Amino acid sequence: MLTAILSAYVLAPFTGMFYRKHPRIWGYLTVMLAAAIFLYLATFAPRVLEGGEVRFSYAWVPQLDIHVTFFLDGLSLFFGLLVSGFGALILWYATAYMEEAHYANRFFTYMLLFMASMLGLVLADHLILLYLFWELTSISSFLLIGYANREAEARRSALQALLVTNVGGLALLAAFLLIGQQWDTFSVEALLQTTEAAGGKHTLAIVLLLLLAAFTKSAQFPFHFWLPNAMAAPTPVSAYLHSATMVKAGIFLLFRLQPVFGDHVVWTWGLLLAGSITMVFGAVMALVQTDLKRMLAYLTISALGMMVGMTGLGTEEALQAALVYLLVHAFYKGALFMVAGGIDHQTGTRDMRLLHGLKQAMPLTMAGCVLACGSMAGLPPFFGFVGKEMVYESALHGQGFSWLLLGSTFLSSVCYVSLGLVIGYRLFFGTLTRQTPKPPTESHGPLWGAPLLLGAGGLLLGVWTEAPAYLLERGTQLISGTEAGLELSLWHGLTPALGLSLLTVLAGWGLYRGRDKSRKWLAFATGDYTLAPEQLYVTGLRRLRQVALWQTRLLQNGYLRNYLLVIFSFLVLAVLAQIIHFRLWPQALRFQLPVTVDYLYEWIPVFFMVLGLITIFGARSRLTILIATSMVGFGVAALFVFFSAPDVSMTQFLVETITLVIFMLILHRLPSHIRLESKTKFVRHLLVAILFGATMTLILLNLHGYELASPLKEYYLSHSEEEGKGLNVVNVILIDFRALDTLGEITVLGVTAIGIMTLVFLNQKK
Amino acid sequence: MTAHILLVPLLTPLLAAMACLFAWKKKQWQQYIYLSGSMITLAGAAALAWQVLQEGIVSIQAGGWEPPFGITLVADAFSVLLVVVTHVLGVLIYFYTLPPVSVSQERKSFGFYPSLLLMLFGITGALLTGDIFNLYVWFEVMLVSSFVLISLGNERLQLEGAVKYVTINFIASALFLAGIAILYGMAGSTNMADLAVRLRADGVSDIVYVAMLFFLVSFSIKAALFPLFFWLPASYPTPPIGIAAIIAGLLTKIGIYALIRTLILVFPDNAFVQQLLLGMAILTMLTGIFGAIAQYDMRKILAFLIVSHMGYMVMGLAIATPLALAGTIFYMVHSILVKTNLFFISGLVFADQQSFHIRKAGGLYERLPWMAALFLISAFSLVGIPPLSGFWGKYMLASTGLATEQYLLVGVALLTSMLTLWAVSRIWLPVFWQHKGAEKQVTLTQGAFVRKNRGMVVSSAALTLLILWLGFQADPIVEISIQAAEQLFDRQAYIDAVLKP
Repeated sequence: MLTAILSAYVLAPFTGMFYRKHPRIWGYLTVMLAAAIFLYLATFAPRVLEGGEVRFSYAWVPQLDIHVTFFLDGLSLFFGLLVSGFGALILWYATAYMEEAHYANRFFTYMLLFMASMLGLVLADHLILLYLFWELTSISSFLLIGYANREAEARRSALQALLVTNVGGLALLAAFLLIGQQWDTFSVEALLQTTEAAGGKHTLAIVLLLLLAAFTKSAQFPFHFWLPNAMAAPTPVSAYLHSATMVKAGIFLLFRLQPVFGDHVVWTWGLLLAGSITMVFGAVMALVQTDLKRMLAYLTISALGMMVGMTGLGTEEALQAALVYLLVHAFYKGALFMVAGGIDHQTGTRDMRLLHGLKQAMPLTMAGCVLACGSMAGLPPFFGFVGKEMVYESALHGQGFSWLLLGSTFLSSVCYVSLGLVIGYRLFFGTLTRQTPKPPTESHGPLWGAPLLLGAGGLLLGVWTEAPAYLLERGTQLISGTEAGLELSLWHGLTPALGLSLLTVLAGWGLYRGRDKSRKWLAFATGDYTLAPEQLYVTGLRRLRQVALWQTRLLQNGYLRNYLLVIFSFLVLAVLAQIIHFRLWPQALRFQLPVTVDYLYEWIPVFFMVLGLITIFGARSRLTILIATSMVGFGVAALFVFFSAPDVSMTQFLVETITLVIFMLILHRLPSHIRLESKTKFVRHLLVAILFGATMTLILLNLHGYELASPLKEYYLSHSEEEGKGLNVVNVILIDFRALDTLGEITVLGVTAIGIMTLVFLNQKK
Repeated sequence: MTAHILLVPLLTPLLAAMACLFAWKKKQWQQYIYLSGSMITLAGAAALAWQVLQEGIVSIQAGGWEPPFGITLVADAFSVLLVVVTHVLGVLIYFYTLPPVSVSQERKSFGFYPSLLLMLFGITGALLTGDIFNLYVWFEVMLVSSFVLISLGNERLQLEGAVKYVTINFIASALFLAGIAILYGMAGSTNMADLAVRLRADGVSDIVYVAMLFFLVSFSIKAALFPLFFWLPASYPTPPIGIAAIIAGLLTKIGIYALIRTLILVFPDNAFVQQLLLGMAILTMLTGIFGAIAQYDMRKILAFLIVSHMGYMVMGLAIATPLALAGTIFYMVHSILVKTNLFFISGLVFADQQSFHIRKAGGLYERLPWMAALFLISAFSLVGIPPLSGFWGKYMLASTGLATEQYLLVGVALLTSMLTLWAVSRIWLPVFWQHKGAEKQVTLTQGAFVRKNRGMVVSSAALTLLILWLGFQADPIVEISIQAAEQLFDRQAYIDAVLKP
């Protein structure tokens, strides 16, 4: 199993590298790979569809309890077959469609990545693995949508799809992590077998996050807008993305977890509402489109809404209807997109206003298209009819608010009939178009073959309902968590659903006939507000960037003194908070050594230090400030003399002198005066400086209460002569006890020397 | 005796740097010395790592003085992991800086190699020392040598950035020193293991928590955390790209290392500091990523991305469970490799397009597809798309974050990863996908471009392979990270290894 999925990933880069040399060979190689995977999965069908399960497990990161585990049951097998089967068909179609494209190699690479990721997604047992493939489908679709990378539209759409689905992806990750915590397992299989009710403390959060993930991926209102824009991708991508992959991933997720969360009120209501709204919205929006692909994209949104809504209804019947309709939709939508691609390829346009009467020119394309439209409109004896009957049945039998679903399925089905006529009839009958960029001619091979195959398949499944029933039964049982059998047939007897179907066709036909009149009262659907969700996304990003710019200008303003102000304020506030919290007030200024001022001259350095400080605050000239600062430094050095630390004092004097000299050297390169723009800024700086000084003083006074009882002192004193071979303890510390520090400091001096050398001698002019 | 292997990765860079100084202005000689030196160092680091992972903490006493009187050098899983990663980059940077577009020939003959070696010396020292004052010394070595590297060449912009860099970092060092002084005043020791014992003893004044804040602020400046990160976006984009890459990859992580080492080992727990870290993690992630979104220069975008992702590393420290800390450690390794590689790639973009500006460079997706692939891998890895390397750290952090009910923190972390995706798309879309028309006439063919910049291409490709390995074969590094985190929390084992060798 791993080999099957990995093989596509492995083949992908090689296709990218070598496709151009032998486009035919590599193109067909990808088709064959997809077909081989399909056949491989099909070999499991007898076992799995009888209720068996197959597991594949490989260790990956055992420390984190993450394993590569796949499992095949009725549901994942069905999806696996769908992904690989449609993959083979669409890749075959693409070998013809992409023939003249310049970067076809990249296209095939990304398609393989896409297919493999989707396969992984549906077959994964470990939730984190599922998330992994989920993200990879987003990435590969990003690359596919941005295929026409020179066009701004394609780039924008690709980013949009990526960001929207990434939000969902992160929601999914969070949901899975919470599931892992609540149920203590990451295995889908284990999760499905759990008897524990979904009543844990995280359940609500998990449900909300899962809905967000599914809705963004499956283009539910109000996250739908990326899908119509995603048609910037080459048509085979759209066909694949809409029929068998990407958008079906969200539905798959809902199906997979329905047994676990199906009873949760937020889950059912969320699905019901989002599904209903999306269904009607998509269908109405499709009516007013003039671009064939965009029309189909809105139809997909609508159909996805139907599946979501059915899942929300949650009855056995409704869940069966949802899965059946998914297959119905895959067939007709795959076919229609490929038809649209064929027409676009042959005529150079997808504008419905320019295209009509293509019957003579493209008869084989027409055949596929008409068959697909029949299924879409839900006419007998197509598979679409079976699907729609089931949808109506379950909506009629539903409890509570199922009338909402009934109403919206009816409305959208009417639209489907009308659009079926628009696409399946008007495109091909009537007078031949003369306005297309290229005169229409029949396409060749796969361009009509693939859609015809799918269209015919839609008819075949409708007539031979045993086949889909056999394929789907186990899947529907897994979704509903029951053992109910699945019976599919064209004829149910004279039921209310049949009447409703009849009514739908009539109303759809009426809508089609009155399409010029209806355009007027459908004008609301073309209003700008229909784009509101997308506007929200666009403005949202723009606002975010404005905030980002404002924030960055505020923080990263380029002034060193502001940076220092923030740093010191932060430190002072944090330290003061701790001091207050622990009540670290100095205990009555208890000095260990009685500080007696024996001689008046000891006050002299203190006097100079205070003088220096006052000067600093008042001064504007850099020179004055420098001298005043040195005055403080020398004052400190002098104090050390009085407090019997002559060596420290010497060092301090030297450092002060050197600092003074160096600063004098560079002073002439700087502006001579410091300007602070305003009084408030000056006060602010002063305040922080004083606070910092006060804080440090507080700390020092606190520390003073401590008597340093360091074992180091005694050790150094007693060992330096005998073992360190030196009488001056400080020297022995420097060159022996702590020689490594000295080595480091010498290095610092050495590097400084290099630095000075380069500063003086190496000038890269710019 | 085998403990002396610890000295190989520490002292080899110093010896090599000294040898380079003897070959002053002889570029060829310096290059031989650098390459052989960095390879020996890497081999030594690997040998040390092997020993530590097999046998536990290795420590030696400098000069043979018994602890805590001398200076102890200690290698545990955490430090050796970073030592190895550092020296892997040490070798790769040699190749990356070979083409003159990465670091000019004049710079290379002038002081580049010895300064770089001394910076590696400082980093290794900081990672291996067991003494708090000695750590300060290593930070000085790092700071001064990185300052020389950043200002090497004296371009006006370089100096402007370097001044901010050095001023703020010196203040950080001063605060660090003040913190050490407080600790020494209280406990009379600078040995970290010894301090760990003394500061947890009964009757220790609460002033220890004030000292903790000095360390926190100082290392947070080094690690570029909110609200102390200003020096980073100001200085990293200014030096030549080869220098920017290694500094950007390594130095901030040493700040985090020091933060983890001191807060976990030396200081007793403190709720206020944990809260502070939590807030800083959240705000670092957000302000950093907002900064990245606002920029147009690739290097500035990357600089802010560094800041933002430092937040993830603090996140683990703020949660402070072994798994969270393991997440931080893994994230550090990932971040060092990925950030460096993104800088590497931006240098390659510059080599081809003569610009770092996203509105000027363009069309590389069609022109140099392999470069696009390199960028995508590193960029998605940074975002944390599984199974690339960034995912594993994020996964560990997010899952422990949720387990400890840090919902806001996890929420912000996930939001940041989404915004990171946007930030890297802001490079990908204009620089790789978009075509800027004829104004950028590039004459080099693909082959000629690769020949001319071979070193850069090779090192970036090698780093990409490493990143892929880290993602797909995550378990060895995950295991080491977990081992390292558990070792960090097992203070007694560290103390025993140092004080009772």
